Amino acid sequence: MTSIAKQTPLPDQRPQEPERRRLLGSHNSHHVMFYGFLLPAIVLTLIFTLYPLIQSLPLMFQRWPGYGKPRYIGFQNIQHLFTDPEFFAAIGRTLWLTAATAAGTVVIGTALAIAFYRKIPLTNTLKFLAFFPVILPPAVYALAWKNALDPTLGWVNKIPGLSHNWLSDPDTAMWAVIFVSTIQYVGIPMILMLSAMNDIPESANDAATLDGCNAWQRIWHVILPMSRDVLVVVIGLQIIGNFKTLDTVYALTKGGPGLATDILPTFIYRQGFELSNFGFASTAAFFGTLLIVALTYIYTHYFRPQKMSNQ
Amino acid sequence: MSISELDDPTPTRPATTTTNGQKRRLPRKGARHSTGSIVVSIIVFIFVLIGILPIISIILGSLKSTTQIVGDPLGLPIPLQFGNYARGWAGVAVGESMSTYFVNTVAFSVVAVIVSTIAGTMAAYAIARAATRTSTIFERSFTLLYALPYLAVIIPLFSITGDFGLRSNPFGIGLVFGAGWLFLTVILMFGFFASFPNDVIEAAKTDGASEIRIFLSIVVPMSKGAILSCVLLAFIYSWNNLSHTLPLLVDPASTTVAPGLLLFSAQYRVDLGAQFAGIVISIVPLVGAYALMHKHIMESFRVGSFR
Amino acid sequence: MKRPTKGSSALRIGVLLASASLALAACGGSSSGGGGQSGGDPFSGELKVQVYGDWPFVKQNAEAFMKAHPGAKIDVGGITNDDLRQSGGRLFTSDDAPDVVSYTLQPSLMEEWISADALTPLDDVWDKDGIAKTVSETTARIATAADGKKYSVPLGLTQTPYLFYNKDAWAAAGATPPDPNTHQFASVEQFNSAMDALKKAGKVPLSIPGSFIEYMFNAPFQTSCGSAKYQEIATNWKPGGESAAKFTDPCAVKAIDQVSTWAKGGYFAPGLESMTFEQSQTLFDTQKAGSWIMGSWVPPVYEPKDFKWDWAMLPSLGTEPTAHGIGVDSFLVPARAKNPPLAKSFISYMIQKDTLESGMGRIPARTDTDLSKVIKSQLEISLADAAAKGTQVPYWSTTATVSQEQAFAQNVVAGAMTGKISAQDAAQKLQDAGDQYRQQHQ
Repeated sequence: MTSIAKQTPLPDQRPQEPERRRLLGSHNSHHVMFYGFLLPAIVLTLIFTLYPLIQSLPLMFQRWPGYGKPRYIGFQNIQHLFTDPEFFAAIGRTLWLTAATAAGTVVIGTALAIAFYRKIPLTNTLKFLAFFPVILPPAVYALAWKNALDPTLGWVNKIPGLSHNWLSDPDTAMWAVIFVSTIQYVGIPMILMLSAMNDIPESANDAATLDGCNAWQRIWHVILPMSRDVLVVVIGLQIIGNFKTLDTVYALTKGGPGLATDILPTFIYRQGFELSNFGFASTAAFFGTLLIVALTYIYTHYFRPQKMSNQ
Repeated sequence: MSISELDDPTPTRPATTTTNGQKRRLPRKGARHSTGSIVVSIIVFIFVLIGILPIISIILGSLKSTTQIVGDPLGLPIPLQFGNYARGWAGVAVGESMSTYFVNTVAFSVVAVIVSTIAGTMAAYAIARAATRTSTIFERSFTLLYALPYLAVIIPLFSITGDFGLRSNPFGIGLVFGAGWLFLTVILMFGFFASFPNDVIEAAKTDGASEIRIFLSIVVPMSKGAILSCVLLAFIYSWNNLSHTLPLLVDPASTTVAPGLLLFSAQYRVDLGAQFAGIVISIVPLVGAYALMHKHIMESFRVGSFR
Repeated sequence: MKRPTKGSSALRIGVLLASASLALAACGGSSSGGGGQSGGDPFSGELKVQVYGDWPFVKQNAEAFMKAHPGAKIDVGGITNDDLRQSGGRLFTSDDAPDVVSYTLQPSLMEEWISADALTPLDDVWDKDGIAKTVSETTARIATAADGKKYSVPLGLTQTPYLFYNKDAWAAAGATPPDPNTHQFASVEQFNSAMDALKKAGKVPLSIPGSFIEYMFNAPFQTSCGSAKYQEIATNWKPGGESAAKFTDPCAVKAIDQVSTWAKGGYFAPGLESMTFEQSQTLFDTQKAGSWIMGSWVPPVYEPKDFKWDWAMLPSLGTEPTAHGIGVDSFLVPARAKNPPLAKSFISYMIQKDTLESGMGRIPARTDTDLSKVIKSQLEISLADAAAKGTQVPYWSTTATVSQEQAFAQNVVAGAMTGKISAQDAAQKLQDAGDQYRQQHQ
């Protein structure tokens, strides 16, 4: 998020002005107001996020089909999880989906941003349409593509050279998922890059022109540093998104064929809701969450400070 | 680059004079496009078309018979099956009508948006203005909680919502979803409030206004754009929601649109035309909002990406 | 730049949150009891019924029941077999539990529900109406739980699989159909040559959706191993019931291999795994496919307009003729039903001869009805007749556990049928799933 023109200090680096500590009044009412404003959020989080989380912890040591009495089975779930090749494969696939979709959306999104920055004909209409899939329900969009990709009855296969069982062939199913995911969300890096390009102040542009750079060289020297930041942001979003949501994959392939597109959320869903093994599902969710937290932490600390120094 | 730019979402290109006074030659309106850019435009058009073709297929399909849908997906809907919309709106005999789903979805979304926006904005304000270690801990916690997969909590939530009498109640489950969504609101509004002009608040304080007064009469009105972004994002994700509505709205009369659509094509039923009509009906609010506010929506997503 | 240290404020927040959560955990968590039994008149009160496949029939008769018993108020809604499979247990033990539900019995799930006390025993209904005398032995056996009690009342039969074939297309392709009286192929070779002929004529020989592919396996398993051994293999997962017969036995592997061979021979449509039910029906309806593998519930809801059709059994791989695979669509009463007496009266009413003969529309579980009054479709009557007179066997996918079905989809369908893993390995995975289930439920 380096805008050459404007720069918002990151929270960690906010100057600790003495006035700020007194911001919310005198010392005693400071606490009251502080917690007062936070109260709704805290209460809601306690009841609907932390309480269920705590309730799900003992589940890791139980066998429970979702109703009736749970049975205590000790560390069996954990043992099973760490010796389960399907679990690790699911995580691997989630990371692969994340990386591929991030790369795809950034590359194509940047290309689109350049085109729109250069104001090609029909820019506004095309921009409107390019971003449109972002706001659609992922399940609906995926369902639409599922119909389109059907080998016998879909229209994709009628295009010469594209005739294949995209969703049924374990070798190509993941690519199909990556494709749908990419096309749907290409709009996000697109607007990020476009705003960044539009933010270049005229003075920098003019200086470059004076130095003899043509339009393309100007863009290139802006894009490189910009892309890195956008890529970092997009990967961060993708990590969280892919580890959380299963709508697209579930609607397209349900994790199949076999397990070829099984990602962590579909793994957890299957164990819990289809195999009625909520103890094991909770275990997978717990360790999966640890992984996301670790990844998010790394993302926050490793990448962000660098962004600030990157002018 | 902050959320405060929201009130001017598309920065226009500045003046045509360069710093040394020479006029830069911008292409005039009529002779704007080179062949190169026309070619690029065509390529982009094809790409964009691929992206929306499946949706066009669904819209076309909403006016076809089931056999036509499956047999001729891109063909023109002739004859036009307006009956699909009647059946789509009336709903499957076994399910409820679309109007019921819409009412439930509105209830769910409104509650989720209000809850997450109010709780999130207030919390973000508190954290942003008090620069203490405590507030930083809260900020970090909310960020981490945002990354939490709903799958980790959805099962216990089934029992909890039952105990509180919220299950199978669109308002109640809207509350639950809002409680999960507020983390993102906090993150977004935190960034905004962190760069909020201090002097305005200080001025009001010297005038003797209370904290609540300042917040409600000064800060909130000045943050309209940012808050609107949060509202838009929350609304879009609430309307489409399946993660909470599917497992927690058990009673059929309380179902929302997204899970309700699944009933059209379940088990032995074959009424794709009505399902597609139902899908089209259900995305009308989204498409309408996008058509009216697309610039603002794009900005919301842009800002939402930067934590 | 100050970073948060593990200072007193962090500790304070931590303690605050933890104690609050624990307090909530202590007070919350007790579900208020519901589901009081309304004593007295078993013909009045409110009833919540949720069915799917027979919805119009049940709704119609609920109205008739309400006319006959003005004190009763019956609400008929919908819930699919898939929903029940995923959330039945939770639903039946919660306050949202309906009073009556219809379900195609899946034995492993039924046992799980029974052992979690999620269902109400219905032996009294069986005794009162003498059901055991009016249904086939196979039906009664399927409805009897491990503890000897009955937790379901049979309404209708789902018979699968059948090969519905386009008589005109077969004739045009020169494919020899099976004997119109016995509906059986003379041999696997006859079946194969018919398939080859259809393929040559440019038709998809067999249309079947990915989620129903298990239909293809019932006949091969049953005829390759013999009915008795096949049942042993299929119920091998029952706790305390480990038998010597396994999926890895040569007869079962041969069955998997045969279907695999058919797949490699191009007898199915490409993209089988992801094909939906609607797509498979359309293939058959538009005559792009020569046959459709489906169940007995099709003829009441579908009739081809442009060609004539008939049904056949899948070919036998052994000496036994192919048997009819039976699934039983039954009424269940959840444990938390709010009005069990009315539920039982309603169920009893639904399975009376008169009620069924008012036009149920598909094969009833009772064998003593006048089929011409129950069913409109001639094809369907023919199916019902054949099963009543012929041999029946519970079909394998409703005999296996849910985890075995998953293993089936992942290994047999995605693997053995596409040649990516051997039939032996696929069989091993199926057996492993059953063994694991048995161990976990000891």
